[in-house]
Amino acid sequence: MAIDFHTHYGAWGSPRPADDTPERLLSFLGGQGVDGALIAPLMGLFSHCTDPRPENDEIVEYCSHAPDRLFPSFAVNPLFGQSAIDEIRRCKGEYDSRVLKLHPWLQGFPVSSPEMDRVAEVCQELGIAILFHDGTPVYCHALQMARLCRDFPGLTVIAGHAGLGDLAREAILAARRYPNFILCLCGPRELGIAEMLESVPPEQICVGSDIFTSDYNEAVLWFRWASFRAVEMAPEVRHAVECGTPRRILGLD
Amino acid sequence: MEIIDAHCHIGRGINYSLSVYELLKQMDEHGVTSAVAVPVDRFIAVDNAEGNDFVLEAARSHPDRIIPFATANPWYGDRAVDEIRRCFDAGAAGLKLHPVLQGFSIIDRVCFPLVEEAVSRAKPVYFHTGTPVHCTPFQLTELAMTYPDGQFIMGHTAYADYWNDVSAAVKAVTNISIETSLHLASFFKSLNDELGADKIIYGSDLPKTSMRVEIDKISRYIELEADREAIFAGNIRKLLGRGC
Repeated sequence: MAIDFHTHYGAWGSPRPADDTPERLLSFLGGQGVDGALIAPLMGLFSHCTDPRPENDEIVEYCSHAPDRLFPSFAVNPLFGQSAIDEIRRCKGEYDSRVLKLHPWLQGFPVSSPEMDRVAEVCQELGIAILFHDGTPVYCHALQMARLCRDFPGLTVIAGHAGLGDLAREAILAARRYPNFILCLCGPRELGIAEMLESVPPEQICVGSDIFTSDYNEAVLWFRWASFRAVEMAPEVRHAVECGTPRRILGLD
Repeated sequence: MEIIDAHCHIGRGINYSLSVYELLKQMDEHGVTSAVAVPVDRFIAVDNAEGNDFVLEAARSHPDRIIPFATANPWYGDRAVDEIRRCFDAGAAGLKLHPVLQGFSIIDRVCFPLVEEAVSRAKPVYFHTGTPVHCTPFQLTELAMTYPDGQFIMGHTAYADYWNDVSAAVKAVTNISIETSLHLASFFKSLNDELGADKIIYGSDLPKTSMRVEIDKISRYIELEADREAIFAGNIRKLLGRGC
């Protein structure tokens, strides 16, 4: 079962249309040989979002129509302090949420900050992994995020773009340094992907497309997965990356 | 349909390598008629002449298949200009500059003499773009405004997170084309509508990517055949002065 570990709920800058349904999304994913997806918020990742709860709730409801194949993520903004912490505890308590999505660039916070450390501490306590946007200087370097793996060794940190094009080497170093640092292949060149597969255990690698559920943009979904699958690898490595790593992070095994 | 790959690297580098044989093999496998070749990593940064000679020799051996572009580190000053002149005289069809590997900003005057040499010889200038802080879309626009007679190629279309800037940066001038390697297929689909196919040039960045995937993303998602023809061959032909 191939799981796309980086998708977003809805559409950029507009309300989610009625024809965005879990059934249609699964059919769309299946067209590229993808069986399921982690769905992260989108509107909750913008700095002007003062209340991420409605979208967090909507995503849970959306995924409940296919609970074995669609997996909800949720968002908070660390700069909101105690209300962010309260939302993390609510999502864990009400939904047993497993993955928090953060976007330091869009949300406007530095990873190296006391607000981020409070969020990391609570996520470590609750067994929630953090899926970061990464690869975009100044606030989204893999090694900034890897520092959390050192200070919070029970925390799982996922680099949602594995360094993108320019910081792939940095992402590799972070993953080799910390076994709780995961690379989501969603942006590096094929050469970078091959280097990651050679130097990082497949248990620390997954694949994502960064699609928006409402767009049904095959050009994005196809490109991300075709780039990954263009790289030669053993079948067991491919299985671990496409299925094993996501399932472990989601607590499905 | 004719396909010209506007950006491949050949030579033995430190981070990546590609032999002439392997380039030609991949071109044959994927129906690529000819390819622009530039040196690999270390020869972009230093030892420019050695890298340029490898590319020029490959083009001499395969004149119908390999189109040589030359590079020189602008910090070498007059020596860099001399090197580019030597390469142009030997058949180099364009100039490739890499602000990250060569340590300068697109708007830094240190690169102007090389740009001026290329512009004076009507050769296109390919810039690696997209890596902060030295090679952003609007920096290339600024340079293109400074040299309105030049023709500039925005390598990798500023992959990755300058995508917000690309359209406005290209629209601001008439002398920037964008090269397709690395970026999302969906991005070119929208840029094709917004900028027109005549601004888009197919390139793979081989061996750092899959040539198959890079070709497929244009074949699959650019709907009009006339647009695909322009992107795959017509536009780079015009820049190279090889037809049209």
